[in-house]
Amino acid sequence: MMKQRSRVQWLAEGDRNTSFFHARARERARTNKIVSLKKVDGSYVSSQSELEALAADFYTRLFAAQEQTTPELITQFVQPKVTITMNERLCAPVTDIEIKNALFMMQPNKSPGPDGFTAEFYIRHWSLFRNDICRAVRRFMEGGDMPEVVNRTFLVLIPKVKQPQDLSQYGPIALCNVLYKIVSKVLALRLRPVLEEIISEEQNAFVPGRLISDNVITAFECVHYLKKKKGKSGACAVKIDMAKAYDRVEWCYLREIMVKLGFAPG
Amino acid sequence: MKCVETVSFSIRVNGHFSEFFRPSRGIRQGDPISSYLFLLCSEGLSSLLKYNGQQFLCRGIKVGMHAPWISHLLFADDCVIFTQASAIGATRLHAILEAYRQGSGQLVNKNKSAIFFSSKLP
Repeated sequence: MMKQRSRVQWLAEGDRNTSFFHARARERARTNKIVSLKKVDGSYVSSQSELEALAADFYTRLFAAQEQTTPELITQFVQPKVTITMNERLCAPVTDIEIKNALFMMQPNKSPGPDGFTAEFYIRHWSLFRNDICRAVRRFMEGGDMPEVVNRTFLVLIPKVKQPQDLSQYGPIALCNVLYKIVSKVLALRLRPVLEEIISEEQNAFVPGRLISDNVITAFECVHYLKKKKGKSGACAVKIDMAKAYDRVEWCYLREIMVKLGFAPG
Repeated sequence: MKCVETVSFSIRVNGHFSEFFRPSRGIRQGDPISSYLFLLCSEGLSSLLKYNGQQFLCRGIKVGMHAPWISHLLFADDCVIFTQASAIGATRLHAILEAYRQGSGQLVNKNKSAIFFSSKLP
């Protein structure tokens, strides 16, 4: 009930400069503030500089590739699925309209990346920037290099549990520059329509035209079956959770699998 | 590919930003293309299970007489695998997951994983 009431208040007052907004902002700042963290050896650190060093060390290690990665173990079973027509469509030159769509689909007021420009800024001044943006995006797509500065990213730590104690209980959210996001979004939008045919039917997340609930229903059905099952040969269901799934994806593996699936190199 | 490999990070701790550093693996949460790239990754696990499954895991389970065989279900990074409840099944599953870790870097979180057995099991 209280939640509903605050929701109503949010709709009514939004982010105008009211005491309600400031209370919300203060509350959020309080939950996100990192007071102290546990180190690997069990001791706690709480000074700002030590915290920074700890976080930097943790993520440098997490984002470092493991020593031995042998993608062949997996890729030998992958069947090519991308057809020539798909590749042609994926590699076609980028049009201005595509770029515009990608930009205008973004939430205008999301937190900006290191350069500090929000999507709103680009959208408002689209008529002014249009040519420059399109040229930059196209140059990158056609194999040109992307300046390192464009792809700089802030990692912001968002607590995943109520009272987090060590760094693994924070989720790192990346804040990218909008210019980079345009490029990435254009690619994502191109990839979207072909996913349906590439991704096997067991995977239900993110693929357009598939519903999460389908998987839930199937899983429920299976569990029901397991409960009812008679006979000697038992069966079991193993639920597996990947630890830090996104952060651990090895690049060489990703590349191998894309080649194996039949994406044109480049 | 360059999108992923040209990243440099700076971490924010209480409003202060650290130095930029270059990672050598991982995709970013917050990058529009990440979720699709991750799908491509999990496609690897899927085919690993499918092609190994026929050889040595059992085919999974079948809900009804005419229902298709289901060996696993995926939802982004969550995964449910169906197999026979036996020591052989377990070791083989372990081998597959180990191969997946070596191949792709994905690590199973043993604390958050669970197992569910069918009834009438000895």
